[in-house]
Formats: sequence, C-alpha cells, structure tokens
Amino acid sequence: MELILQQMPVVIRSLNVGFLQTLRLFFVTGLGAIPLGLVIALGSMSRFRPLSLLTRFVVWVVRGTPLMIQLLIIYYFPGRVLNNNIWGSGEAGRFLASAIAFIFNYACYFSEIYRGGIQSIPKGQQEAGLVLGMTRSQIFFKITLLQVIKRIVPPMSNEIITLVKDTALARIIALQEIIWAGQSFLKGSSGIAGAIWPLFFTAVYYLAFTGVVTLVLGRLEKRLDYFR
Amino acid sequence: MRRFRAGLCLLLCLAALLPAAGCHYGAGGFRIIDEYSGEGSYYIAFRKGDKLQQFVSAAMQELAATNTLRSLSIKWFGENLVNIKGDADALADLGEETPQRFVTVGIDVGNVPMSYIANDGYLGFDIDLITFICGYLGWGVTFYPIDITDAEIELNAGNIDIAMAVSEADLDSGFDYSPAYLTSQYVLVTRSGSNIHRRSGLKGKTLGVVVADEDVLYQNRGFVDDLGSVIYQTNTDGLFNALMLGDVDGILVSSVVAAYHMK
Repeated sequence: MELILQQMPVVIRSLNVGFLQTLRLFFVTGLGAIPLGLVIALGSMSRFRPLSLLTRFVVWVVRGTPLMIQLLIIYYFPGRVLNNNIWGSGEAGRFLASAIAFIFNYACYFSEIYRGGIQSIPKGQQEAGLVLGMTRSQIFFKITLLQVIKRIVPPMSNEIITLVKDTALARIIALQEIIWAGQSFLKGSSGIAGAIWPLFFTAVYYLAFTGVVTLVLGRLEKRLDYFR
Repeated sequence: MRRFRAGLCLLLCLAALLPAAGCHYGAGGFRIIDEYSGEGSYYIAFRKGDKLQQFVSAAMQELAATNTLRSLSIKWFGENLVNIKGDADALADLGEETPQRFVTVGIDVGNVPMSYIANDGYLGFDIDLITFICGYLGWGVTFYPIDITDAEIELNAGNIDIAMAVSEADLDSGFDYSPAYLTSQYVLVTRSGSNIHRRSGLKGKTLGVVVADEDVLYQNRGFVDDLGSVIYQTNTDGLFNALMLGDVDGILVSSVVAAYHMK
C-alpha cells in the first residue's frame, strides 16, 4: 500500500496525459460522426438508386468489419502500399488516422440509427405537410427531424458509451492513449515496473467518464421528452 | 604460535577466495554463475533501400574510432560491450555528402537499460547512442515509442525512419539493418552472497525469467526439468527485485541487462 501511494503521483500524471488523448479522440469522433452519419443516412435513403446502393454497400462493409482492422488499414495502407505516408511520423499523424477511422466507422453506425428514426415517422405527416404547401426540405427539417432527434437519443447514447471504450482500440497503431499509459507501468516506465494496479486505475477513469456521459445523455433524453 | 597464525591467515585468504572460485565476476550484489545460451546481437533497423543505413553505420564506425561508443558503453554497463570496428574515414569513404535529415526513431520504451521512460523523458543506452550518431551527422532526432515487433511495418509505412534494438530474432528481410552494435548472451545470475556458484547448484531451486524470454529458457529442457520451479516476471527490474528479495534463487537474463544491474 505504501508503495502504491509512493508511485501514485507518477502514475496519475501519466494517466492524465493518456486520458487527455482519449478525450480528444472521443470529442473529435463525436463532432465528426454525428453530422456525417446524417449525410450517410440521407444517402442510403436517396431515391437516386446508384447512390443509395453505394452508400448501403459502404455501410455494410464498415459495420461488417472490425474497427481494429479499419484502423490498421487506414494508418498503414498509404505508406506501405502506395509508398506515400500521408500521416507523417509522430503522434499527430497517428491521432489523425485514428480520428478518421473512428469518425467513418461511427458515422456508419449512426447513419443506421438516423435511418431507423426517420423511417419511424408516419408517412401521413409528410403527406399532411405537402398538402399544407410545405417543401420537402421544410417538411424534413421542421417536422421529421425534430421528432427523429427525440427518438434516436436512447440508441445514440448506447453507441456513444461504446465509443468511450472503443477509443482504446487506437492503441493498435501506437497512439498513446490512456491504456497505453496504464500498461506502460507493467512493462516499465518512470522507474515503475511490473505494476498492475495502474490498469485498475485506468478502468476507474473509463468508469468515471462513461458515468458522466450517461448522466449527460440521460438529462438530454429527459429534456427531449416533451411529447409525454 | 607463529605457524598457527600463518596457517590461520592462509585459511582466511582461501575462505575469502572461495566465493569467487565458482563465478566469473560479481558486483552490485549479484554475480553471473554461468552462460546459458549462444550470443545474440542488437541491430539498428532502417526502411528497405533507405540511404540512412549507410550514413548511420558509417557514423557509428567513426564514433567507434574516437572511443565515443566505448565511453557510452562504460557509462551504461560499466564495461565496453560495443563491438563496432572503428574507421575514422567511414563517412568520407561513402563518397557522398551527408544529407540534412530529421529522423523519427522508434523505440521500445519498456526495455531497461536500452530505452525506457524516466522523469517524463526517454533514457537508455540506445537513446544516447542514436542521439550521438544523429548529432554527429548534424541531424535532428525525435523518438516515438513502438512495439519493436512492429518495426518492419512501421519502417516501411514511413511512420518511423529508424528502429532501435532490433534483436536477431526480430531481423526481417523486409528492412535493412546496421552491423551489430552490441553483442549479448543469456546468463544465469544469483545473489553475491548465495551458495549457488554453478548451474548445477540451481537444481531443485526457483529460477526467475522474463515472460518474453521463456523460449530461451526452454532451449535447455533438461535444465528446466531439474529446476524446482520457474517464476515469471514481466520485466527485468522485477526480476532483479525478486532475486534481491530472495523470491527466486537465480535468474536468467541477457548479459547486457546483467551488466547494467551489476554496474
């Protein structure tokens, strides 16, 4: 116990640095994937057949393959196969590659949630809008989307909580996120070696973060519960 | 009486020499009692076809000629373990002007004493070595921690320019590498005060080994079968701690790591 207390400041400092990277990846993914998911959903519902087929095919591929493989391919393919390392060396390139992989992957999952939400709105509302002389975009933004947002919050919350934990996958391309930081003390870092307790601490960081995200999304769900 | 005193002195001298009789050398509370396996070497790896390899290898030879590498080895290991042949004109012999470069070096950060994290920075023999080489060539250098078994893909994808401490087992035809800069072998180490002086003394005793070196241990199946038990550790620091605390009677480590801990 005394040893753990002695090592604590070093471990916490290192975990904080890793956690910042995790947070950065989480927020960048959220900011990119939420709007991109809507674009993909609209693409998959498009009446222009080639576009909807292509979008559905891409969604099927992305949802049907592990995120870890997507990360490895996105990061290593340009340099390895095209002899053009677009990511550069160092942390920034690894972060950018991770962010793109996460945004694209999560956008595809979100798109299916959006699609389900949009298609759950009764067709009669659209017809009523048309009868009232509203344009299609007016109907979508003023009638459909408002109801969709309310309906998709619970499944989106689920995906967002999964995203918190999935950020750990970026470790596969050596992005130094919180698990990398925690695991380094097992192998040896800053004079601490063979210590497994930092990994339990790493789990506590995740628990606390998912707790906060759950609370925030729970509140959002309550605020959008205006039809009851 | 005089004869008795002389006899006693002789006896005491012999007793003092006795612990040294069965071991090669000892320092830092530990001693090497036997060699366990053949030699293995450390290399610097480069992207396939990258001219960096020629410049770094030539710079290493010039630094070896000025005894810089020797001093570096003594600083980290207490003895000269670097086996690069010195050549004061190696760079000139290349017949090309040294290009300006800024290199990213991939390192295994849990590898004491070669490369590890301390005081929020990177330390180790490899860090010093490549910093010296790049400084000598007038190059900038930055370090990035990688899993050294990914050296080939990291190099050839262009994410790093150099990978340090690639061992023979990790050598791959997918990348170029420098001449071996350090040679090491696996050795058996015990506490200086222990009464185990040879390999046979470990019969029925507990041996500590790093998980990653398990395959080295099992190269000699007969020896393993004679042991009482084997305790695994994740790193060499833990191994030496276990030996110091008496949790194990002996440990199996590379001679480079042993030299660092015994320094």
